[in-house]
Amino acid sequence: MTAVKSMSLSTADPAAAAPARPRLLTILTIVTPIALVISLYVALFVARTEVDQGDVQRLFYIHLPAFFGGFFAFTATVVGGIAYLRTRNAKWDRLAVAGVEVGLALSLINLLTGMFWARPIWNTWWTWDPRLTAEAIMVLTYFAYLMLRAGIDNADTRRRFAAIYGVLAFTTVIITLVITRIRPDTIHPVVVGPSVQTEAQGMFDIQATEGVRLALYTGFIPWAVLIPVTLMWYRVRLEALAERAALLKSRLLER
Amino acid sequence: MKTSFFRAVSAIVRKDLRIEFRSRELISMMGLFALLSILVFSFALELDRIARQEAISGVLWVTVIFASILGLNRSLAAERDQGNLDAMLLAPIDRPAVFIGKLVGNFLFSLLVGLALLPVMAALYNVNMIQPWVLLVLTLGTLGFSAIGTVLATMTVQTRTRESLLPIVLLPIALPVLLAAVRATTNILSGAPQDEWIAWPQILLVLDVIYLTLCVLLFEYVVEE
Amino acid sequence: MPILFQTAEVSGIPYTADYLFGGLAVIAVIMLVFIGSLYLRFQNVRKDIALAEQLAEE
Repeated sequence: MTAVKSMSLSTADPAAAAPARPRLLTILTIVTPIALVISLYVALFVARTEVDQGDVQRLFYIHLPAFFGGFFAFTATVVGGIAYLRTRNAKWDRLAVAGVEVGLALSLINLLTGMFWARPIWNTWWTWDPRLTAEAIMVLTYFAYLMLRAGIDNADTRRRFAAIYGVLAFTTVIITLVITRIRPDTIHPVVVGPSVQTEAQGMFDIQATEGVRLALYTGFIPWAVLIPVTLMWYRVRLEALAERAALLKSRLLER
Repeated sequence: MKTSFFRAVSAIVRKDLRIEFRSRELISMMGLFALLSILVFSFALELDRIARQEAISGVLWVTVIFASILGLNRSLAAERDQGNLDAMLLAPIDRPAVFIGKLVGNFLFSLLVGLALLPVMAALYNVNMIQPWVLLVLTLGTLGFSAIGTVLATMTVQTRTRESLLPIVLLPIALPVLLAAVRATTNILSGAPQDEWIAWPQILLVLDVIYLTLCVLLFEYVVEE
Repeated sequence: MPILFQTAEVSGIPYTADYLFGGLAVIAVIMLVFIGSLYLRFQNVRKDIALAEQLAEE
């Protein structure tokens, strides 16, 4: 939350010059690529090749963490939305829109790595499996969020409606998460937590392959934490700058 | 003094029904659209005997959904243009009562279109559509859809793009409801044993409760000012 | 030791590395497009602000 505080413009004059880049953001900008390179190295060269699936299984070390990165970002949207509705402070709306854009990027990575894995393993790019369907719906919902924002001219109405839609849209994220529990006919492997399904295709034992856990954990650090935080932070700063530009323009017009 | 919740709701519903009774604009538009949609589907899918079993519940739901979107846009645009919404919000009524009032109206029109479609489709496609479980699923499905639709339509009538934005923001959020409803209807119509599909109406019920709660809570923020 | 360009004849493990590289390429494209769009939008907004401030002074 300290991050959010330092991202906001000074309250006295919203048109005042934007604060310089905080040191924490600079550190994140350096650390994130390093963590990404380390995780790629572990996923590609340290983890042992999966015997039944071959090298394509290595995409899993990005696929799963990227989903949780998206989940993290969309959660930020809900938190930002609810906080905006309560406080009416524009900084929370910046967090919400940043969450949607970063969450969409990570969800697309999750979907597309899944497709590249499914082609050799399931023998198809796409199947209307419950979980895949749910995630496709989720991605479309957040694209609709951006369309809704673009359709409203008044800044306060835009923030308010976006906050409401961000809360409603999160239901699709929860459905994507829990669908494998309530619809046992999915063929999507359930890796985390207990599974009710018996015949997931392309399932592999997380213990059996050497280095899986290490690769997964080093994958989580950049994809589920550092990348979403860093990108969202930059997006929040961009939104603050854009608001400042809009304010300066409206002042010019008033004269 | 505040008007009691139920009196407020019933007043709003009666107002909507009375307007509709006089003009018959909305229901005739929705009904005609639904019939045209059924015809288009019949040609497009060449609904012969084999295709029917699988496609018929999809045709029913897609038709009901798009007729509902038509109705939602009309209903909320009329409220806004005539300043009714502002008047209702100025009146000493709880916001949830305004929401439930509008929801009941929209829900009744959607349900009516769905109910009218059942005998028509039964006659056209020679399938027994009028079964108690189908009626239940139709009620639950249109209820959930109308709840989300009422909140989102109140928002989209205030945007620049207005009517065209509603399907884009409504369809993805309402898709889980639609999906459960279609699956349930398909299974019921195919005559599968009950324990194979009973999960779908249950999921539908849970989704309805979740969406209704969320919509009541959020509507307050949609209509403020 | 993992072998990235393993062939079926050598080990019996199916050769699926092409799909791995395809997936990695798509990830790179998405990240670069997102970061690039962030960068471009920053540039545009900064230009707008500079212009507005310049006009305000005149």
